Amino acid sequence: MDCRIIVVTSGKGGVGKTTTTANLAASLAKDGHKVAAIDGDVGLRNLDVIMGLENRIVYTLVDVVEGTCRLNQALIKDKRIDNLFLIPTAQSRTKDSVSAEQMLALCAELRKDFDFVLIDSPAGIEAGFHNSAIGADEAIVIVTPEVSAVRDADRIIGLLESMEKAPIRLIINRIKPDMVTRGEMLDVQDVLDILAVDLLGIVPDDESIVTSANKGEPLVLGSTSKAAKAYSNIAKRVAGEEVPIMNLFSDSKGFFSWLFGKKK
Amino acid sequence: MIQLKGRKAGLLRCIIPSDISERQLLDEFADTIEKGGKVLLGNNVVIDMQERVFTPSLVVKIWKCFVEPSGCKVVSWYCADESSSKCLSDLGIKMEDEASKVPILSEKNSINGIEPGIFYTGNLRGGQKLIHSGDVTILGRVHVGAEVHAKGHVVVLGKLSGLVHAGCEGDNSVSVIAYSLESSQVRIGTKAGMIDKSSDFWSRPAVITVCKNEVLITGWPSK
Repeated sequence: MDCRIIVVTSGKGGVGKTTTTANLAASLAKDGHKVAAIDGDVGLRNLDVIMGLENRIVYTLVDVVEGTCRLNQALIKDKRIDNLFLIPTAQSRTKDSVSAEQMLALCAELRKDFDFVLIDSPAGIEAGFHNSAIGADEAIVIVTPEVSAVRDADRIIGLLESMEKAPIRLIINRIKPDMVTRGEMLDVQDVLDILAVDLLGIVPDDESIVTSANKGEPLVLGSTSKAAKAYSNIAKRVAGEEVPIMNLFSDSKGFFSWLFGKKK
Repeated sequence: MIQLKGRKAGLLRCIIPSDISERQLLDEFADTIEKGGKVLLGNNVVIDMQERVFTPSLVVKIWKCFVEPSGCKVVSWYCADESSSKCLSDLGIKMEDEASKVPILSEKNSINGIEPGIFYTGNLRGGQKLIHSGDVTILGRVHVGAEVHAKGHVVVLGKLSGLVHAGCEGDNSVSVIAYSLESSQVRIGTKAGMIDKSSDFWSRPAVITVCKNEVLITGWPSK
């Protein structure tokens, strides 16, 4: 299998890029693919915490590109799942510490050994984003159903298109079915109408995401929550399987509808 | 500033001013690619170096920083400096001579500075800007945050949510046509029209013109 390098990006901060990267990487590895997750957010290291690997960091992405260590020394192997590796980033450095050429060289090196390389991009459209995206073949754009997040996603998609990343696919995160039903939140179709890109998946807003992030255990490793199922389905779609988009609205019916089995 | 000018359909002219340094030039190429986006991809381009005296090594840099990343096809080069032009020609690079330059520049077709129209296929996304000294037809959508500035008419055969300024050098006689009007503001010449979501023309095909000093929106086709 040829290696696929995918950048996970968004434009706006706080929409769930790191959580998505951690869960997709874990889920793909669980399905038998050899996966490397790279934290591209130099200076604001978080992917290691979400993946529960922060205590094992010796070398970072910056050490690799600067030649302080070999690539294998910076790759942290997850003990819970075979085939899952993390390249953490440096907390004490800035985005300028890694250049586009260095990222391209790193991606070329990783391409030899992995089935999937997922790069967690920083928020914004500056050098950090460019460096994260430059070595990727394809892109996953994370968006929440908020006007500001959608607008930023549109900007990022434009930049990714000009960088010739393909396919560019969308994950709509933190959907609250009740709010959508009440017409207080953009629904999936609204977001797709605005952004005009393919939908990779939807993830419901779920308290278990916060819990799992705090515990350092990706949801897909144990949780039976809807969000865990959503991430697992998305990973399967990334790998090329046909999995229908989850119906988030089946549980948002009222008590009486549920009791009498009525459909909306 | 490097300018990208539409000439004939599918032919662009990349004009590189001779008064900027080589370093600035490479930075501006990156900027042009970012802003030019899909306009360049797959399109034929003439690289116009103006008076710049350049060397084969500069050509290689231009190739690496502009031609390759933008995905455009260079059909010819132009350089007013004779020795540079000869040097490139000796390398086997196709140069655009003065005779062929005239029709490419389409000065003969230019009427009052308005150049032949261009087609843009694809969506213009937030942050992207299309500037042309003539008519512009967009076979796609203009998203919120995208801008189109044209000396002539603008036709958007898709949803228009971004900003269009037709007749951007002050020509109030031009028009804007949108397949689905969802932009809160349209500019024509020296006028700006504000459109409210409650307007009868919102999300509908519309023609926007200036009539009696007011921006006028009519349905399309008009009843």
